[in-house]
Amino acid sequence: MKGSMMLTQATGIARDRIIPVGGTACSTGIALTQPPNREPALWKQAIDQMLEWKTKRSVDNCEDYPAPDVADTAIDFAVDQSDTGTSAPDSIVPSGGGRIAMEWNTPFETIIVEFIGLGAATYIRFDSAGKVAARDTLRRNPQSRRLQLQG
Amino acid sequence: MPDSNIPGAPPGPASATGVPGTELLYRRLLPGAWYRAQSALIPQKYFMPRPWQSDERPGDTDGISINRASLTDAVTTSRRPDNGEYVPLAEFTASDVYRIGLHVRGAPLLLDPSHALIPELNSLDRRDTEKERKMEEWALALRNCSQLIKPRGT
Repeated sequence: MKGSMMLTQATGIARDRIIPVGGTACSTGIALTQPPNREPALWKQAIDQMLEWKTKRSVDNCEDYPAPDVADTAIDFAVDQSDTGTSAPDSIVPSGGGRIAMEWNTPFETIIVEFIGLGAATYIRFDSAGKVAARDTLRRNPQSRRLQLQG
Repeated sequence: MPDSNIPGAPPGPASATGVPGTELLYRRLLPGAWYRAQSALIPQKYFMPRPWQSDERPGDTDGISINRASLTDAVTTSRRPDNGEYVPLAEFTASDVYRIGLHVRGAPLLLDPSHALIPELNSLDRRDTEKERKMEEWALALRNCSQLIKPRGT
């Protein structure tokens, strides 16, 4: 459920979807030693990769690399999420047409945020049967400067 | 007419293509992905068509491109025609495509006779919200039956 946690804090999705990083151990009551939190380092790797795409696009002029405004939006989002201690996604990819997609997978759902323009992204959640369970648009809130669901 | 020679193939366009259900298909993946772990799933968006942006940038209007393994090999397919770079591939069977409810249409190119399309996954339909929703589910289903292969250590 790590993806849900990330989106909830960032965007205002229902609080009942929040499960903190490491929350599984707490919720089961089993005392487990918490592994070192790798999430900030993973987010940093991901951000470095997106910065590299920006450079490559300017050099190669390849349309499949993310557009600069899309990359900026995705990087801002990644920085916000890293700062709030949430989980990095399972993958971040150029998704064609200058876009970037981040994907989180659990046994129960798949969540994808696709950055499509400056301060704009789409959010989609699939249930365990692979059906679209939720779909929405994220826009940058001019006050908080963070992406939030339009819902 | 259903084609009884194609196991699992539905009647109609799928069998008309002559692509048997047992045939392996490749989907060349865009380079540069970042993965949390080596075991990460192939991203679902790799099975979505490039979006329509404008008349000058219409995206994948005819469907997403795939290659037929009976007419090529993984290493050749892995090589991008525009710059020669080797990239990873997703591998799945034609019967996977048919089972999901999609079709395979041969679309040979002058320099690539193995080229084919999955026509339902196209950028024009993607402009319609409801059709795009269905497309997202098809793309996820296709991802879930695909295997990542990395010829030449891509």
